This record gives sequence, structure tokens and C-alpha cells, in this order.
Amino acid sequence: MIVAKRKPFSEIKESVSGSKNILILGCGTCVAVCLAGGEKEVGILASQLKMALALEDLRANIDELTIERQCDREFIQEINNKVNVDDYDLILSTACGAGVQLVSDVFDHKVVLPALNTTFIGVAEGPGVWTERCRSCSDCILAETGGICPVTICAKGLLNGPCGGARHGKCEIDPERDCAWTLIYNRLNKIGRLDRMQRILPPKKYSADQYPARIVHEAYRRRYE
Amino acid sequence: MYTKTLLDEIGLGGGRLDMFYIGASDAVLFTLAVEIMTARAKELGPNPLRCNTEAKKEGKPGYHK
Repeated sequence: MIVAKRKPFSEIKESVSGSKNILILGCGTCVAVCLAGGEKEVGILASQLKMALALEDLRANIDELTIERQCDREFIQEINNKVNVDDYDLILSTACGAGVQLVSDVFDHKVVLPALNTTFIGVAEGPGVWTERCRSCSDCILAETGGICPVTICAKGLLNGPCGGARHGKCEIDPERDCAWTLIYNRLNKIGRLDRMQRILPPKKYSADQYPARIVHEAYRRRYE
Repeated sequence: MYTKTLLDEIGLGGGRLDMFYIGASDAVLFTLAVEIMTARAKELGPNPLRCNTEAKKEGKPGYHK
């Protein structure tokens, strides 16, 4: 999932200053799971803003709404069934960068501001902890590396490792950090595919990692091309 | 405690909130916690939020006064 972190409160407060009617728009998918922009976090942010404004003797109407996903037009259209966006000076989105941009596209006559910093694609390691696992490079090599991505986890992003700096399974960049290639060796050993360590991985197809990327599913190709 | 951080961020002061682990039968610890929070509330003064809103609206001083 996409993992994000809320922007510093001072930055959010500064970005909405002067607005009298604010809609805080939450996203109920990735950012809800990583406790950054779901319904509860929208409620917390709304309360904080209301209190911070009251402390300065200011007042603003701050409404809350959380939709299933902000990265999907059909869910964004549902907003119109629940509120009138024209009642608001601005929409403060607690979605990832993709969600903020699509909301901004759909309501292109409104000011749409981000409340989060989108950080990485990752997994939940435990309650409240997420780690990056994928750099979405468009050329996945996990089949060769025992399901551990050196592009993401190795500090040097080495396709053929380990480097000479690994010590006792730790990285020379940060001794607290596991060496990705030691992890890969141990995993390949565990699944009986250690022969993969002998293979030299060719340079990645960096040309595949173009941005902004676009994918059209085969089944829909005639519709768009 | 996360909520204290939220209060600090808005300038209300996280010190106004605290959590104590007290057994149901431990009256001594409960009394101690009340004393700690009462002393802290006196030190921090009136809740500026309440002074700025309700009390001001009603023309009354803050509720601590």
C-alpha cells in the first residue's frame, strides 16, 4: 500500500489560513490503514484546526468527509451526493499525492490542498510501523532475489551483491540496517534456490521506468487507442 | 502520548493532559494523580481555548478564575 505521513500541523494551518469554509476530505484506503488520512485522522485534524483557530480568536466552518478512495473518479463523484463543494473555499485532502491530484482534476474550479506527504509503497511490519518494500521500478526482479527487493532495501540498490561493505549481515551505511543481499542469500538458501546467487543480473530496464507512467489494460485497449 | 503531541502542535499545551495507570483499589495513587494534575492546572493557568471562546462570548472570565 501507499504509505504517507501527515504534514506538520503548522504547515497545514498556514496553507488554510484565511479560509472560512473548509472541507477536510479523507481517503478510506491506503492512508487510512497507515493512520495518516482516514476518517479518524480527518476528525483529529478538524478538531486541531478548530481549536487552533479558536485560540487565535478566529472562526471557520470545517466539515469532514471521508470517501472510499480518492484515486478513483467514481468515488470522487460520490462527494456531490453528500456535500456541495461550492460551499467551501478549499478542500484539504488527506489522500496520497495521486488522490489529491484526481480530486483537483474533478473539482478543477476549487483549491485542493494536500495534508499529507506521500512517502513510499510499503508493508505494515507491526502496529504503527511501516517499511518501504517497492520502488515501483516497472522491471521486477523479485523472482531472482527470493522475494526481497535489493533495489529498495539495499542502500546502494545493487542488483548483484553483497558489496564489500557488509559486516555480520549489516549494512556499512547503517550498522542497524540489515544487508539486503545477506537477507536475499538467507532466503534463497531457505527455499532451495541458492543457485540464483550465482547468476549475474543484467542492468535493469530503466527505460521501462518512465514517468508519468500509463497502463491501459488489454481488455480496454480499443476504448482508449 | 500521541494526544499530548496534538495539543502541543496547536499551542494548547500537552501538559494539560496525562494518563495514569491506577488499580481500581489504589486510592492513594489516585489521590496523588489528582494532586499532580491540580498543581499542573494551576501552574498552566486558565485554558486559553475556553477563555477565548465560551467565556469571552458570555462576557465571563476563564473558568479557572
